[in-house]
Amino acid sequence: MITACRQSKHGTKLAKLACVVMTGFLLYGIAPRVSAQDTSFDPAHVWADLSGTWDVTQDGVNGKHGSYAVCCAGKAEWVPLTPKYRKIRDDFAKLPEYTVAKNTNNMADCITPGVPATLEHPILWEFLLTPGRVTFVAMDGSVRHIWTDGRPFPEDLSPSPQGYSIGHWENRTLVVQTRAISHKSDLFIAGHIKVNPTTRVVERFTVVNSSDLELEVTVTDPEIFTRPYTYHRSFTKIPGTFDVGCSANNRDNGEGGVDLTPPQ
Amino acid sequence: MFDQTKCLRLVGTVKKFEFLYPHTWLWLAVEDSNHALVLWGMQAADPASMAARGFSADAFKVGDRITVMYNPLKDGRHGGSLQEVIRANGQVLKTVGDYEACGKLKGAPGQN
Repeated sequence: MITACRQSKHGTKLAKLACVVMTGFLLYGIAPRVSAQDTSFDPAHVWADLSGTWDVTQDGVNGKHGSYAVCCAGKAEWVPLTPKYRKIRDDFAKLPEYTVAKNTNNMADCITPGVPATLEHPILWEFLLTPGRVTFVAMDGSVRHIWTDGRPFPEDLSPSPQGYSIGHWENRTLVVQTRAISHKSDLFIAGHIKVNPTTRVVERFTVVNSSDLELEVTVTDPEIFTRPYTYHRSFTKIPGTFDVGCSANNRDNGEGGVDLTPPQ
Repeated sequence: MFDQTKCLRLVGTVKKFEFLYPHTWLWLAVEDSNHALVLWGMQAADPASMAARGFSADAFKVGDRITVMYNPLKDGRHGGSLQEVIRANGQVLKTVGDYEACGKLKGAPGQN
């Protein structure tokens, strides 16, 4: 259209210039907005399969290890803990069952476990997909922003319970890297070992089909593990949504046990 | 808290079904060996997860006679982690149990 304006045999130079300018405005107005960096939305048409409410189906997938604490807290020798953290694990296992010292789990106090332990709990969650960001929302009140707009990790990060996450797509897998997780976040579901601000977590959420998803979690921290610690879980999509809430009928008695006071 | 190496069976009468967060609770009156009624509390998953498995706030009426499969409390008190409910008409409802739950461990008849 712009070429047509220039090549027109009619009109003055000013008129041709006006034609070019007006054509440019017209094209700008009707052209779709495409961000050069934003490849985060609807990659490979995955969003329709990834959206929805997810519920854990299996800890450990196809013979690959599940999360340590569900296996048998304190006895999973395959978890590559350093000697210092083996002692922490062993000392915790020796504690009397129903004591305050045993009750170190964030969830017991209606506090979000944080990354990575939130997904070790059997809670419901969903992904909200928007351009440049995937937002993780869970039944325990966790909200995580996973930036998929190509940004790197900022230089100066302050630790927080969910940490700072960036993500990218590898076909039907959302790969999430998280750093700067607060030391108050649980590393394991039992809560006896917390995250360090230097701990790094990589989560790979793979959409298997329209109703199944597999998660591989790798935690790296040379102080806690002698090598990267990896476990697997699987999830299935369930109908409906969920309420976020913890304490309507929280019967945890604050001592690692359960309150059996009869209901009113 | 719950002994996941054991899967026990209990028969009782529904007293209350609490369909609340963070855990649903099913309360049963169970007759002990002295024919006295004892209240048992069975913890299960959150309402949303339970709803996905066929439970609802009005799933049970007070007085319903049901059989439950459960992992017992380690401290021996009258409670457990609910794995399965079997109605009088034979319908089976499975809860969100733990990963070494009754599907693998079915066996011991339980308390009565």
